[in-house]
Amino acid sequence: MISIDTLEAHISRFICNEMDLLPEDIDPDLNLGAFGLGSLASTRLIGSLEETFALRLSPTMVFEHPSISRLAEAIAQIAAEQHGGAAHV
Amino acid sequence: MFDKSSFNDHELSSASGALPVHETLALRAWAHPDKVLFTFLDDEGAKQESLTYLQMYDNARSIARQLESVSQPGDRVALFFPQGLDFIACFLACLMSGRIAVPINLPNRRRVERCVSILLDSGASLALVDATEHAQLERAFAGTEAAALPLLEIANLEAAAATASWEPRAEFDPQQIAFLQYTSGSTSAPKGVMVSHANITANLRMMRDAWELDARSDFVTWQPHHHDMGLILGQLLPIMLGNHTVVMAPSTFVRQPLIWLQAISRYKARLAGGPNFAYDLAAERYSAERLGDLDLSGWTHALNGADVVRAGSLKRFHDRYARHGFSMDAFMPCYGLAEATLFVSGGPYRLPVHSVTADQATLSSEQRVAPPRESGNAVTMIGCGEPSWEVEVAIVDPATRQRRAPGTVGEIWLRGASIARGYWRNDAASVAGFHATIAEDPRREYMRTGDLGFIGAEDRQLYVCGRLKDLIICEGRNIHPEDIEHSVIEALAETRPQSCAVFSHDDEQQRQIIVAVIELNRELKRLLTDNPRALKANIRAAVVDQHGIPVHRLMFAQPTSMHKTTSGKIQRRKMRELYLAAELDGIDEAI
Repeated sequence: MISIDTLEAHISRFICNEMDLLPEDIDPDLNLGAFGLGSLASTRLIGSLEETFALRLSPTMVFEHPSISRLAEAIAQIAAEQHGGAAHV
Repeated sequence: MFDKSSFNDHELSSASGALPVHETLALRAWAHPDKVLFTFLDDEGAKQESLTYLQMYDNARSIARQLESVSQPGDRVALFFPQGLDFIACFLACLMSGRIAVPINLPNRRRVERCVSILLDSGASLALVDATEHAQLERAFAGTEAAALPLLEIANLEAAAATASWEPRAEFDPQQIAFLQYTSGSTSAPKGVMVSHANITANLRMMRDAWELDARSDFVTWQPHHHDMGLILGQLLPIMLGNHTVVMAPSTFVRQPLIWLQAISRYKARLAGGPNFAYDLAAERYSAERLGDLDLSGWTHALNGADVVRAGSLKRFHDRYARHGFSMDAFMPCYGLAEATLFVSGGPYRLPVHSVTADQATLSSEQRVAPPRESGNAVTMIGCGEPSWEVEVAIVDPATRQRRAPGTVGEIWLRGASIARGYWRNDAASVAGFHATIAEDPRREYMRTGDLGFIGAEDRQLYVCGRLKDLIICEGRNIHPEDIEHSVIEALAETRPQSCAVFSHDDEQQRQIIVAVIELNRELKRLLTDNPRALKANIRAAVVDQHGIPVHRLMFAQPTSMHKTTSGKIQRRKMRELYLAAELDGIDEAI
C-alpha cells in the first residue's frame, strides 16, 4: 500500500526541486500549472513516480488530475490495483 | 538509366545522394525490399510495428494514389499524426504526388490557435489525420476558421499492390517545394520555411558525409516528426542511408529516458541524440540495477543539437555511462536550423569535442575571443563541429554587413544547396532573411540565421554564442518571448499592465531560468498586497497552459524601470542586463 501522504510528499518534493520553491509555497489543492510546471517536467514527474513506486502510469494523468492532492489520490488507487494484481500472480 | 539488373554499393550511395528522397526509397525498395526500414517501440519500449523498405514504399504509393483523387499538385496537405510509422508514409506520399506536406504538432489541449494560424497561413486544402485523432481534431477546430478543413483518414494501406517497379517521373523538378516547416515565427505570425526536394537531398547527403554514415549506421530516434530534427534526421536520413531506424515517442523518452538507452544497446544503434536536456534527463535517471547489461560501446554518434550544448551536461552523462562503454568522443555537438533544412555543422567523426575558454568581458564588449585574464570571469563554449563542405558560413557584423575574422563574433550567415527557398507567402521576411548581401560582395546572397557565433581561429569549429533577436530556446523548442508576454498580460487582464518583458538566462548550475518582468500599476500593487500567491499562480498557470513551459521568476517593476523603444516596444536585452545586475526597481519575491 502506498499512502496518499507519501505520494503527495514525493510530488511536492519534485515540484520544489524543479521550480526552486520552498515547501511552504506548496498548496496541494492548487492547480499544478500554478507552480509553473511545464509539459516536459510533468512527464518527468510521472516517470519519477513510476520509478520510485514501481508503477505503470499514463503521462496524461497530470492533466486529468491537475492538483497534487487529486493526482496523489488517483495514483494511490492505481497502485492498489497494480500492486494488488501482482500479488496474486 | 536505371535499366540494370542490380546496383552495387557505390552506385546505391551515389544515387541516394542525388535523387529526391522518395525516389531513393523506390530504388531501395527494389534493391533490398525485405530489409527493415523502421521499427516503432511502444511506451514500454517493446516492439510494436516494423516496416520493410518495400512495405513503406507501397504504403506511401497507396496514399499518393488516394491523394491524387482528392487534391491537385501543389496543394498543401496538413499532416496530423502521433509518433508512429504512418506519418512518414503520408509525408513521402505528398512528395511522390507533388503535394506540399505541412507537418503540424497535434493540437492537444493547447496549441489550437497555433495550428489554426498555420493552417490558414499555408492555405492547406485538406489534412491527413490519424484515425485515433480524428474526433479530437474535429472538436479542436470546431468554431475556428479551420472548421471547414476536410480531415481524411488514410485507409486500406495493407491492400496496396505489392510491386516495386521503378517509375521516376520524367517531368519532376527537384527545385519545387517538398514541404513547409513551421517552426519559425510567433503564434500570431507563423512562418513556413519552404524546403525543396533538392534542399532535402543536399542536407541528407551533408549529414551522411560529415558523419561518415552508411547502411550499417542504425539509429534510435525519439524526436517528434513535426520538428526538423525528428523529420529530416530521424525519418528521412535513414532512407538515404538504407539503414534500420528505431522510432519511439517523445513522451516515452521523457517519461522513461532509460528506454531510449536500452533501445540503443539492444538494437546496436550507432547514432542517437537530442537536445542537451536529453543527456541531463538520462543522467538524472541512471539506475544501476535496471541497466546491468547496458552496452553503449557501439554508440559512436551521440548528437547534441537544437539547444545550447553545456559542458556540464556532457560530463555528468559521461560520468554515469562510461562504465557501460560510452565514450566521451562519441559526443557530437552540432548546429542547424529549419531555414537550412536542418544540418549546418557537426563532426568530424571520431574527434574529441572542442571547446574554447574566453574572457567574458572581452567577449561581450569587443565581441572577440581572448584568453581569460586572471582577474576576470571566463566562459567556456562548446564547438558545434565544423561546417559541412557544402555550406559556406560567413560571420558578419549585422550592423555594417562586413565580414568578421575567425575568433570574432558576428551573425552566422549561410549559403549553399540546402538553404531553403524562403518563407511561404511572406516576401518581406524572405527578402530580409534569405537574400542578405555582404558589403564587399553584393552579388552573393546569404541566409541570415539570427544566431551569433564565431569560427574558431585554430580548430575551424563553429561556436554559437546566442541569438541576435530575443528568441528563447527552451527544452529544444524555439519560444518567442512576445507569445509568453501576451499570455502574461492576458492572464492579468483585469489589472491591465502596460508591458511585460520575458527573457531567459542560465543560473550558476547552468540551469535555464525564464524570467517575466511585469510593469507595475496601482491595481497590481493592490493585488500583490492582498493575495500575491494567487496572482502569481494565475500567471504561471496561463503560461504553462498555452505554451507548456515554466516561468521561474516573476518580477514586478516600476514603470520607470521598463525600457522601451521610441515606438513603445519593450527592450528585452536591456531589461535582461538590468535584471542580472539587480538594477531593476520593483518587487521581486522568491515565489
